[in-house]
Amino acid sequence: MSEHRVIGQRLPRPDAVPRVTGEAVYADDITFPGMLHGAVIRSPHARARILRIDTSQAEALPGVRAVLTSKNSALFADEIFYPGQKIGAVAAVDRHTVREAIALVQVEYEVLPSVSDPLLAMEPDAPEVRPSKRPDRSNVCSFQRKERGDTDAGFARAEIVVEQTYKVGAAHQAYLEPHACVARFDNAGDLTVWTSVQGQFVARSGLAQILRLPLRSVRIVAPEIGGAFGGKTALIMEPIAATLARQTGSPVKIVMTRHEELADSHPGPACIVCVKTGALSDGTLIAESAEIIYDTGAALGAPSGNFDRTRGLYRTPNFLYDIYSVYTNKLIPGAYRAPGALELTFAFEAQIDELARRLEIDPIDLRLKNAVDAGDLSVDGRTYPAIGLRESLRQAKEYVATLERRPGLGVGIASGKWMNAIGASGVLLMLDEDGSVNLTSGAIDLTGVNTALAQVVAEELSILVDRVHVRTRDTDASPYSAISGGSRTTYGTTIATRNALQKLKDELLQFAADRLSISPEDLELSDEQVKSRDGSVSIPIAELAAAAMHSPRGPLTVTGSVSNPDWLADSHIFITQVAEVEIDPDTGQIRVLRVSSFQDVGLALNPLLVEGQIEGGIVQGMGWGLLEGLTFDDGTVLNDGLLEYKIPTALDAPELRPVLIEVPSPDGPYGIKGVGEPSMVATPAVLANAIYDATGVRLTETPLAQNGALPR
Amino acid sequence: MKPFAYTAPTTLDEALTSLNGSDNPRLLAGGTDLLGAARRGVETPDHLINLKSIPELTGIHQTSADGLTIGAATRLSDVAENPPVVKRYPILAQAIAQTATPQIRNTGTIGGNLCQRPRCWYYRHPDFRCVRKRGEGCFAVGGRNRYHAILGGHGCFIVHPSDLAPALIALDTRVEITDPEGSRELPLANFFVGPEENLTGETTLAPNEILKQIHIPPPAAGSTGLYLKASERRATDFALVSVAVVLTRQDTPVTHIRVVLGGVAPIPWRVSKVEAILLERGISTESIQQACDAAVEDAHPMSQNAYKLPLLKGLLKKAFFQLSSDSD
Repeated sequence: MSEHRVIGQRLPRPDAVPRVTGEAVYADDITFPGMLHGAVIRSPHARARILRIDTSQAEALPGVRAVLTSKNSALFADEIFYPGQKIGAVAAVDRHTVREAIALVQVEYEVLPSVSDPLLAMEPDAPEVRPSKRPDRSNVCSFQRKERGDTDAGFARAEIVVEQTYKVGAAHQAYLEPHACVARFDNAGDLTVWTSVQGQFVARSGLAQILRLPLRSVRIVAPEIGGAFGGKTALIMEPIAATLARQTGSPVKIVMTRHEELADSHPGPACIVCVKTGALSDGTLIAESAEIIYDTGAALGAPSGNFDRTRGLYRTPNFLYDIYSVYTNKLIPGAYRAPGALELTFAFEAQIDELARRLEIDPIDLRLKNAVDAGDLSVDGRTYPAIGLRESLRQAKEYVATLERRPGLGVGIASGKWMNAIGASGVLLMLDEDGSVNLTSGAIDLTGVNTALAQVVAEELSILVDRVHVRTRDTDASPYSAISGGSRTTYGTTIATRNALQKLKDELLQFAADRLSISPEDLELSDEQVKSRDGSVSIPIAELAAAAMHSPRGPLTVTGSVSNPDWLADSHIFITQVAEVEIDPDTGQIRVLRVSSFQDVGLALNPLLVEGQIEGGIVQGMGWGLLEGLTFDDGTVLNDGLLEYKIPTALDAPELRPVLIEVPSPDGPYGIKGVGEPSMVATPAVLANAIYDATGVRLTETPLAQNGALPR
Repeated sequence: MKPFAYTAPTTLDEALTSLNGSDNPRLLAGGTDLLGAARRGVETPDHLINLKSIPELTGIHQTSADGLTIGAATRLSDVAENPPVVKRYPILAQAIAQTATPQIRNTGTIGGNLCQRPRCWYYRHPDFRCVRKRGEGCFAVGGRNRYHAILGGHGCFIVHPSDLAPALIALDTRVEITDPEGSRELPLANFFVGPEENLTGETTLAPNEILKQIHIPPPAAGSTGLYLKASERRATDFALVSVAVVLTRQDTPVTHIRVVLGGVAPIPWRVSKVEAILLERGISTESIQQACDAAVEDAHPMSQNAYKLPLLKGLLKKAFFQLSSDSD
C-alpha cells in the first residue's frame, strides 16, 4: 500500500469542466468599452530594405486610430530578414477596418538576395543573413563541439559503421488558442496586459524593458490558456498592443490569425543530422560522430543547446558532435515541448535501429547492451543517479514478445531522454478560519499543476483535497514564478509548496502546543486535526486557524520558495516507446495502430494527469513525425491554416498505452520527475523504425507520411 | 474581410435578378469555401447572394425516369443520409463520408462542393499573384508541388479538390444550370473545364448563371460502385489521389464501366483508356495490371509529386480487386 493518502490519487482537474462548457475566460474574451483592435503589417519579401512607406491612405480611413511604422516606433525596422516580418501596426475600431487599413499601406522595397536552405546558407558565397560566428562557414549563428576520447581511433577499431543523414522539418506547436492579448493603460500611466503566456513574470520584465516602464507600472494577467507547448514563452504581440494603447489612449486587443501563427510565431526548428556510428560486431558501440545543423531562421531561436539534456543513452567511449545553428531568411523558431530533443532522437534512434538490423541483433537487446546505468557519465559529464532506461527497455521487451506478427505489420522501438528544470517559484499559503487552505501561485497552470499542488497540501496537512483552493493570480497578486516550461512547473512549485507547508506545520503545531501547554514535538497532524501523539488531546485545524486569527499570533500565512540558478534538476527521465504500424500494401499508406510508452516518471503525483500528458505527447509527437510539415517557398510559409498544416485528428490517433515506471529522482519532491516534455521525444523515431520493420524501407525525413518511397 | 452587401432571395428568379443586377457578386451556399477565401482576401466579393434561403434549390426527388434529382443547395449530410442514395448510389454516400468533417458536411452543399475553388496553396496565398488570380505563371512548377497535378496541367497545375465530382461523373450525372433566359443541361463531366480552356475558373458556369440541380440517372443494370481516397490525414484532408469506379460485369466480362480520378488533374479525370482495357479484356489480374499502368501513361509528374503515380495505381488496383470480389 502507498505511504501516501492523497498523492497518487487519480483526481481530475477541477478546471476541466469550465473549459468544456465555455465558461473559462480566455484573453480574446476580455473586452472594454472603446476598445480598439490591432494587427500588424508584414513584409512579403525574404530580404529587403524599405525605401519608402506611405501610410497616409490608411491613416485617412475612417475608424483608424493609429498607424505605427519605423518612422514613429522603435518596435519596427526598415531592414527585412524574413517573409512575414512585422513592419508596422494599425489600431482601429474593428477588425475589418484594421485589415482594410493594412491593405492601404504602400511600401516600396529594395529586394535583396536571400537564402532559405541552411546548407546553402553555410556556403562561402551565400547571401549574408547576419554575420557568421565562424570564419570557415557563412551564416553560422552558434557552434558547439562535444567531444570525448579519440573518435578516429574508435572508428578504426569498429567492425561495422553506419552513416546516414536525417532531416526533421519545422513543426508548429498548433496550440488551439492563437496568441491573444489586450493592453490597457490607466490614467496613472500604469499598464495592464491580459495575455496568453507561459510565464507572466517574464512577460512583465520584457514589456517593462521594451516600453521603458518601471516594473511596478506593468501588470500581467494571464487568463485561461488554450495550449502553449513552448510556443508562448516569448512576447510577440504584447509590446505592439501596448504601444498602440499608449498612442491612442484606448485599450487595444490583438489576436493572431492561424495563418499569422504559422507564418510568424516560434515553431520547432528544422534540423539536419549527419551521423556516423561505429560498433564491434557484438553490438558494442565504440565511436560516434555527427554534424547537427539547426535552421534558426532570421535570428537566434533554435534550441541547439540541449544536446546533453536529450542524448547520452548509450555508453560510447569515443564521440565528436558538432552542433551548428544557421541563419536563413525564414521565421525564427523557438521552443517546442522538449526543445531540440525530438529532432536528435529521430536521427540517433534510427541509427541504433539500423545498426541492430545490420548486425541482426534485436533492437532492444542492442540498446540493453549499451544502455547507461547509475554511475555512468552523460555527454557533458554529469554522473547519472539511479535511472529508468534499463527498466523501460526490459518492460518494452516483455511487451513486444506478446505481440503477434503478420505481413504488413511493423513493430518499432525507440528510446529517449530528457532532463527537467527547477527554476524560480514562490507560493503564498494561507490557512483560513474554516480550516481550508488558499494557495496562491504565479505559475501558469498548463498541465494540471494546481491540481497536483492541492494534493500535496492535502497530503501534508492531513486535510481533504477539496479543502484546498489553488489559484494562479496576476503579477501584482502572486509571488514570482519562472515560466511554465522545461517540465519544471510541478517539480519546482511542489518544492516551494513543501517549504511553505513545513513552515505552516511548524507554526500551527507551535500555536497548538502553546494552547495545550505541551511540547510541539508531542503533536502531529491527522484527520484534519492536531493531535497529541499519545492520543489524549486533539483540536480541529479549523478551530486553531480561527483562534490564531483572533489571537496576538494573527492569521497563519506563510510563503515558500525555490530556485536553482543552474536551471536543470538532477532528474534524468528515460523513456522507451513501442509502435505498431500497418502499411497498406497497395498504397503504402501508414496507419499507426498502437503506441506504448514506458516512461520513467519518478513518482506519479496524479497518475490520471501523468497519463494524460503521456498520451498527448504521443499524439503530438506523431503529428510532428508523421503528418506535420511547415512548407516554405523561398522562406514564405505556404500552409495557410490547419487544413494544410496537418495536425492529427481523433481518427488518426492510435491506441495509446502509457506505462508508468517509478525510479525516484534524487532532488525531486517525493522523487517526482518532469513528465510533459519527454513523452513526445521518441515518437517520430519509433514510427520510422516501425515502418522499417514493416517494409524494409528506412525513412529518414519527416513528415514520414510525405515520403516518396512507399509503396515500392 | 472587406464589407459586402448581402441578399437572401427566396426564389430562383429573385436570385438570378440579384445576380445580374449587382456588381461583383458571389453566390453563397454553405460558405465553407467562400468565406475562408474572403477572409484571406483571395475572394473579394461586393455582394453575397445566399442560395440556402431558396426552397426550390433544396431537396432530393425521385424522377419519373427512376433517377434522382438533387437541388444544388442541399446539404451534403442530407444527401449522404438519404435512403435512396444509401441504397442505390452507395458510391455517392461513400464519397460524402470521406469529405471534410461532419461540421462541414452539415453546412456545405452539393452545388458548393462542385463549384469549390482550388486548394492550391499558391492560389490561396495573398502574396502569390498566379495565373489563376489573373497574375502570371504557376508558382508550383518551380516550387512546392507535392499536392499538384500529374495530368492535364497546362500553365496551371491545380488539382480539382472535390470528392463528390468523380463519384457523380462515374454515375453519369447531368447538371442543370439556369440563367434569366432559361436553363441548359449538360453532363457533369462537361461542366468542368481545364486550364487549356480557362485559366481562371474551373467550370463552364457563366457569371449570370446558377447551378440549379443535378440529375443522377438510374444506376446501370447490375452495377456496383466504389470510391476510394488516399489522403495523409484520415479526416479534414483533401485527396492526394482518389478513384471512383462504377462497373457491371458478368463473371469475367465487363459490360459497363466508368473510372474517374480525383486529386490528379485540374478537373475530375475520366480515364477512358482504363475503361476500354477492362471492357475489352474483362476482369483478371493481368487486365487490372494493364489498366492501372494505362491510368498513368499520360502522366507528367513534377519535382515532388511523382509519388502520385504508384499511389494512383495502387488505389485503382485496390478498387478493382475489391469490386471484383464484392460481386463474386
